[in-house]
Amino acid sequence: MSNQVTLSINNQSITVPAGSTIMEAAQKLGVTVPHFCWHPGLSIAGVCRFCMVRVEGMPKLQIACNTPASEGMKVDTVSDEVKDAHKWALEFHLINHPLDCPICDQAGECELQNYYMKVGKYQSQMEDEKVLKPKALDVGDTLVLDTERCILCSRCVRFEDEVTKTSTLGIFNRGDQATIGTYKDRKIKHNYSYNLADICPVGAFTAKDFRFKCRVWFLKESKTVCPGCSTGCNVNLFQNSNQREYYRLKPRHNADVNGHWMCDTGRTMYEHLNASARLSSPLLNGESVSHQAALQAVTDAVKSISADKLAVVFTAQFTSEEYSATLKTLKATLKSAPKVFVWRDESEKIEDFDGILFRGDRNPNTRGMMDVLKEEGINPVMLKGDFSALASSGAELTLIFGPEIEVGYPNLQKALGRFIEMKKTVYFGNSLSEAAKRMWIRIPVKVFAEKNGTFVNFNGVAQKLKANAPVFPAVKSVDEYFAELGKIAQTAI
Amino acid sequence: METKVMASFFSSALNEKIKSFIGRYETKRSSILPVLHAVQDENDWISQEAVQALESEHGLSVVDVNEVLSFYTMYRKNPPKPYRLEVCGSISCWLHGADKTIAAAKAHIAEGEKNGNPVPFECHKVECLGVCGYAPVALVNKDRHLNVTPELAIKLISEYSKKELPAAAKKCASDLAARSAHQ
Repeated sequence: MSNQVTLSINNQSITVPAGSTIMEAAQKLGVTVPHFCWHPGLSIAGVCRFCMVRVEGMPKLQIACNTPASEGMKVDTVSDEVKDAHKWALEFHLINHPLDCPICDQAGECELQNYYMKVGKYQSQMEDEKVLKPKALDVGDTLVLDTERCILCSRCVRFEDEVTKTSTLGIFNRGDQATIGTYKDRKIKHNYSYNLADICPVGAFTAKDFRFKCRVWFLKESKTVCPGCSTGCNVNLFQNSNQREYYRLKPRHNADVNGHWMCDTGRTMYEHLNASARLSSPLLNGESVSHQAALQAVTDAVKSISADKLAVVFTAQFTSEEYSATLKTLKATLKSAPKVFVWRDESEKIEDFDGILFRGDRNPNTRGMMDVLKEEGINPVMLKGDFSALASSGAELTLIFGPEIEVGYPNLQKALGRFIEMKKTVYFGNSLSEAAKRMWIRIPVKVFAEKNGTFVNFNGVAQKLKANAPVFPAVKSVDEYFAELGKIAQTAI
Repeated sequence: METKVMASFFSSALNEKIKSFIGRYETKRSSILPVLHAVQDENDWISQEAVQALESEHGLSVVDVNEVLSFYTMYRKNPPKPYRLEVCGSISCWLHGADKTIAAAKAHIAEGEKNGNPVPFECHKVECLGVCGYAPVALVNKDRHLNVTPELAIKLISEYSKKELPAAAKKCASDLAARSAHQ
């Protein structure tokens, strides 16, 4: 047994091959000894002097990386004496370190940074102690406040006073005790709270929706337009392109549309873009089929009927180009225009406005859709709570262009329930809802972030969307589908 | 008599005063300083109940009021003793022995507490009171006293202790009694 030694580290016993170091024994035991210079794949240098441990019987602390383990050795890595040694070793490492972590690419995966968070001295060498203030305060459904990080710029206080006029925040006390806060149990409760996290120049306000989810340097931003309502706020959309995962939206300044801000409802407009919230492939009677097969089936169905037997149900959540392409292709194939219905949610109060940005029309392109319909000489029939016009239309095939953003359609289930009463239904949309599953054909479509096109806001401002790489590469936008459908229809002739 | 329509937190006279201050400025929040002084003069201190009443009865935001209240040290945020001996500790008074006056007054107050014979006093060091020619200077509530030696300080404490308590102090005591009875 001479080739094995048994020692104890923090009163846990471990047996290792003779000649192993304390560091190796500790690693085997799962005890972390902080270190910089030691690496399991390299030779031992012993220069960082960081891996100090107490070995019973030895006059001074020893470095774990270069002290061989011996039989019966008693090692301690957690006593205050050892922790103190770690602190001071780290302090020496930091004497000449520039501490430019904010612009350093290593930040977030830097061992110096990590160890400082873990075993650092924290107390600065300044003669005066740091003033400690409340941290991680829950100040509302959307925000967390760290008043120690706050630099008292008062942007948030002024935002509350001037933009939302809610005045929930104030600066209390004075001098180095001055602290941002709310009154007792009053929380920040309005639809513009995430703007506070945006305007905060430091990490005092952080968004509950985003904190600890993703490092910002993994995110790529793209300029787009919020599809949450008819205001059409200009936004930056943040995607982790390696994960193909969208994480958040932030407002982009446009003096003519949204100024500097956007609402909290708009901030959720990334959720439906991610794969888990979307239909990934076309379904025919509930069975997965290829896009080609689904389109073929739709084309055949369209070609087999006359224009007056085809009903088209639009929602105002597609681009002007998509409406145009759909109507032009159908006209060309059927030789005359189909019946067009416009589906609006029952609860919609189109004229509602919160006085800042958020509008009752939860569709981004009502104006654009109506413009295209007018251009095509079509007078649409409104379906709002009352679906009898569609039911009595005698349509044998109904093409439904469902809303991309279902939160704007609280009565979606009811409406879909009525649509599936129609003879043959084709649903363009990503809805995962139960009622949608009973459609004859469902075809997933690109979301606003993945297509080129135009939204026309309530005020007639036409704004371009620019395509990001799609989450599902095979999925197309409605205009792309109909271009293809037109081709299939023609070649079949 | 108090207006008992909505059982106002403040007396009707104080309510009138607050209203006149609020009407005096362009914005409501500009009136916070004099309003708080008026409240303190009547109640002897400014409780959070009073701050909430300023919001519910006079429309002054609790956030705005607390920002001001927590900034200034001369607003009392906790119930005080009936008399405050405030001795100037700035340079002229300090050179003339303000520290000794403060120490003597504090010792006298502490001794009273210890002997079960407390005086209705508390003693603070304050910044310059602007009468440096008569250093050391002190205030007892709003009365000014000059050349306050340790002996004079103790004499002042005894004299004031014999007087009837100020109205604000009485109101403060009865409010606190009512509050503890309520709880």
